[in-house]
Amino acid sequence: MVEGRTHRPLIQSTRCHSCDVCIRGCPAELIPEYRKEEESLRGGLYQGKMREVARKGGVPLPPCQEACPIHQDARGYVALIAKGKFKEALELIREVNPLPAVCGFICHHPCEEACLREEVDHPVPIRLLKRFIAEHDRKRERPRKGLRKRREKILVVGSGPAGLACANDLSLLGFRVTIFEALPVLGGMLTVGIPEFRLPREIIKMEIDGIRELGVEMEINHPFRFDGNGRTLKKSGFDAIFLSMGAHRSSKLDVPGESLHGIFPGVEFLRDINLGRKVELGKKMAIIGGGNVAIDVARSTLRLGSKKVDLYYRRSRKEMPAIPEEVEEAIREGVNIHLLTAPVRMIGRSGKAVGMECIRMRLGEPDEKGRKKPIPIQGSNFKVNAEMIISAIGQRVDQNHLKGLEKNPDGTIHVDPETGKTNLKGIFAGGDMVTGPGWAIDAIAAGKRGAKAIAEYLT
Amino acid sequence: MTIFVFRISKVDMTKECKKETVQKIKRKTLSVKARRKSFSPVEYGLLREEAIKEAERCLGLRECQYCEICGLLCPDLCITRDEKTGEVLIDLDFCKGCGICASVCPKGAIEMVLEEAK
Repeated sequence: MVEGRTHRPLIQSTRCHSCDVCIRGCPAELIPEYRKEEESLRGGLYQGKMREVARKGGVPLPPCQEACPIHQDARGYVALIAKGKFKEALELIREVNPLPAVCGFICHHPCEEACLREEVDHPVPIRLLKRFIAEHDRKRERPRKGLRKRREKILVVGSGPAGLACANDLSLLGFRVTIFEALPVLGGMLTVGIPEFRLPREIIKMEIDGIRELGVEMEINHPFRFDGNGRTLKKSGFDAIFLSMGAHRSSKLDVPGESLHGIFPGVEFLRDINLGRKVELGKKMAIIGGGNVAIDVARSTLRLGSKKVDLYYRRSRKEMPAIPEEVEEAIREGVNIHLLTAPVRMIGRSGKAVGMECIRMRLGEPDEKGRKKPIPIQGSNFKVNAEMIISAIGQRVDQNHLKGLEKNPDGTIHVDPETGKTNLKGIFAGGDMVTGPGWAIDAIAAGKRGAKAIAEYLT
Repeated sequence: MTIFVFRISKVDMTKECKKETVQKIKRKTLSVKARRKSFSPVEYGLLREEAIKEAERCLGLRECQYCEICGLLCPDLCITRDEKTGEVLIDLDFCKGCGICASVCPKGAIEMVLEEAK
């Protein structure tokens, strides 16, 4: 550090609020090597160590940034948009977000919920602003400094938001990254789980092309499996593996008659539609579930030509996990939503489903996740007719290829929450396969955490 | 040693910033009839003017909040505040263009621009 000084600056971490004024004002900052000295004060500050300390005390970030899982500087880019500096705004977004256009379309925007403007009138539409910026300038360059300067090869399994975010960050750090995707299309749940009317395919393609330009190799139709003896990593020829295979198996309804013809699992149904495969369709559809998959299935079937679409959910509207705006749009499009209703039995005639028996529910005490538990009202059974029934009550992780990994009781992979490390050395995991079905932005955050942890592991 | 602390509290933000309320812009979407026919995107994006207007509503906008940190850190002491009007003045004859003020401004309200040759 600086030689020949008489005084030494001392920062009290309890009082430091990481305003960064000292760093930004420091004339010695012109010598960037100092930033790397981790044990020195400046290095520590520069690498955000103080910020992590301060964040635990809970002060400095603006509420929108604090609410975002990847701590995107929403206030910063909104301000740049207000000044008309669209290029700079996109650069600022790109600093932390590898998939801005995707987020602009489908993010569930926790930033807007946290926005302080709500106290005055209504929150700033941060998601739409991000979408505007991402669409405004489609042919922008990504930073390409220092690409492929490292020799280590890293495998990312699955090309969903978590995998893409991880691959993006790792290749920016200079690693050689390869993505294996089991499906014939890239994008994971973004492509096969979200219908085109919510997220146009060219937007996903644009983002993936951008990441491919960073030197990431992507192989489709390339499944990956663990052989159970813990030597998968060595055999694969890669130095580290990031698993982000997602949760692509529909949960079972667990009611009698589920195996009848005409009852389909929601995600698989949606995947077939999104891959352009031919799906069976009835005039009268019944959909079970209240999440995004259920709403997406309902809206897709309406577009494919079903005349009557009924959606059954066992809790009330407030407990629905789907994005409220999407639920509203679904109602506008003509989806009938029946709340506090759950199926108890599927009715079939000569092997084909013709309807189901439902029961009314009431809400009881909140469970450990804070959602009110539905309790069946005895004797309130009734029958509904339907030509096809689709159950979209949640997804599980496909267990077939995951021998030897430590798992949670619900089938998700057990990892260290800070780094995404699994029980096997050199293998990291993130996204839906760790948390269970969740939001894209959380998966992106997990991918970024994984990339950071892999970079640390390999140095 | 002085430590500068920026705290943003809910009360301060809403009290100090623009109070006028704006009607919520109705989200523009594809008509329900057209949706039945295709999988084209339901939601329309913002137009340029709309985006700027919406962005201007952010309470944390990069406007000078008269924190005077730039004045305190200026090595040439050329940033002062007009006692009467409260306006921040930069004495450009003394300014060496080191850029510290622009980099320390917590609101990003100071911008460094290239000087034209005389």
